[in-house]
Amino acid sequence: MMTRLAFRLDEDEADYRAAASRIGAVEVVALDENPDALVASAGTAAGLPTLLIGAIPSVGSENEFAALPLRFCPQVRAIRASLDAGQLGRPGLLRLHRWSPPGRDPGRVAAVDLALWLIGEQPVATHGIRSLNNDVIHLGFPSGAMALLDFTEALPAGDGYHSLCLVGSNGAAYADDHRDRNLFFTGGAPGATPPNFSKACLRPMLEDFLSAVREKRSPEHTTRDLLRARQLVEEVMA
Amino acid sequence: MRATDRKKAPFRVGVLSVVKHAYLPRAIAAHPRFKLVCVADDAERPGWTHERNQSFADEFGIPYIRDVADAIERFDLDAVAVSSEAERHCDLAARAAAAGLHVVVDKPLAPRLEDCDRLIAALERHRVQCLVWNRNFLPAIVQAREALAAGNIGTLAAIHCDFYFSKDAGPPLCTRRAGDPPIDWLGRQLEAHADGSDGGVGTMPMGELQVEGIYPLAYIRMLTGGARVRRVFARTAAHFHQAHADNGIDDLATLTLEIENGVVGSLCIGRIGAAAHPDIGEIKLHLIGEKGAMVISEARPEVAIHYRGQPLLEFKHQRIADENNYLLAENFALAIDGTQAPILDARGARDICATVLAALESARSGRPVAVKHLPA
Repeated sequence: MMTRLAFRLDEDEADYRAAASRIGAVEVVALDENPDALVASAGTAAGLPTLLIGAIPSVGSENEFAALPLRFCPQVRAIRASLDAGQLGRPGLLRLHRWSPPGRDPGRVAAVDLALWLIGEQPVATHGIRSLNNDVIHLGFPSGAMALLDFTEALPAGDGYHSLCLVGSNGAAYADDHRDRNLFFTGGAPGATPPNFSKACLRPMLEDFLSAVREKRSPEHTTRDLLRARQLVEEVMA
Repeated sequence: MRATDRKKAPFRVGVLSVVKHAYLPRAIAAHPRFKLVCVADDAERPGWTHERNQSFADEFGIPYIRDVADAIERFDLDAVAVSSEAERHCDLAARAAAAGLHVVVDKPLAPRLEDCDRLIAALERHRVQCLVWNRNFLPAIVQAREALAAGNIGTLAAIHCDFYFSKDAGPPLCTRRAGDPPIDWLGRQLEAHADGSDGGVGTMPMGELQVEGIYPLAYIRMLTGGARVRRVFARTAAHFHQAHADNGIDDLATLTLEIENGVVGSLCIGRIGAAAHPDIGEIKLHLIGEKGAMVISEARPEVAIHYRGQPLLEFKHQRIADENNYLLAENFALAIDGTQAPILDARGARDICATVLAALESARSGRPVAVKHLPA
């Protein structure tokens, strides 16, 4: 059965439309063409199930879904699949480095959400430190697992840097921009640039949202997760 | 680095106990400014100690003396290389320092601060040099240090280190059968001698943070210009190995570091199992300055070698151009000459020991802990 999907985004709408065009049984329509669901920067429209990009859903809303794009990045999906398959064993440590240039959010809330989601517990110990534009968030979990996350908004203008390492009792997974860079020689020291896959999270995120709409799943879990992560960041860095 | 004076007669070095993997005395022996002349240890040491000491002495064709004081008196030593159990490092080193001998000692310096303090007092009273073994001369670490010194990223604001050894340490966690006794720490370490993973040998169980933490913390110390960690918050766990769980020590630890000069830092360290990485483990430094940042892989440069029939646990990437051991020995010679400070001296290693102990206390208490440093 075809699902009619509309967009109302402030940024990157063309990328979202392109991602939706690659999904089977989806028709991208305008907001006034009787859509079944909406992807929007803020608010719903006519009670449509809505995936909110970059905004926090209203508490208790039955149609606003939290977008958690980091969970759908290709490297995270591969690691989650390995974890779910039992290959890595029990999670022991999640290490994240997330750096961005000034003015670009390094994603503290998304990173903490990812830590809670991958480790599968709520922390019993938290600690945070900050110096200028550098933050560290440290979490301890009931099972003994731990997460150590660092953030900066002090990179020079240009690309950010992301690194994720998940260490389990049977193995470890590494997803690091450092490994994924190719070299480009244009004089002097070469530039190091990864292939562009920054939008590769969009299609699986939209697919998951559309599945939720078709299956009439409640957005409660993702909203709760996002709010918990945000609250945790606020408490730790207060 | 300046070269040492090859025309001078080599320094005569006594090896005081060589019961672990013997990289330290081998590195000293390989340097042209040093000559090993004897191995010595205390007579009352257990039999396995004497066997290992004798084996090393035989390999180098030098005598093994079961009396440290006698060896110091008879062999006209200039220096000693201490490679005993960590819990004996400072005692042996302090006895040598009291006899006016320079000291090169394996890591970690000690499991207790009072041991460090006794050694520092002896070193300073007798005005002799002490180098504590470290990895600060690895090519990638030197590159990071030089880039910082050149001002490439400006003043350092944050430093984060990931330090994972993908090594096993006996049976995995949760494999002890009902009724089996806990794993004896010393027994396990003696078994580990075969594969060189006996860094924690001794009667005192020491976790990965205590055994190996000196390496990344020495990086952080050097790259921050000798800044000291003021306060630490830590979590630890025995997540991988039964021997660590049975002895109440960690094989995985995370530290948040508040460092002098407003620098923030963090460290993840673990002995995470041989299956967790194709090589010795992921070891990286992340440095953020006011003008830029660096991501440094400690392993580089390296060469990849793969072949049919390759043993499962053989590292697929081999480090190359690694002259860390030679450069440490060179640094020690220059320190004895009085022309260069040890790249990690006893006071620096004591600061690191204090940081580690504060981290362990934090992990127990669940609270940040101030590091107990000596007055600057």
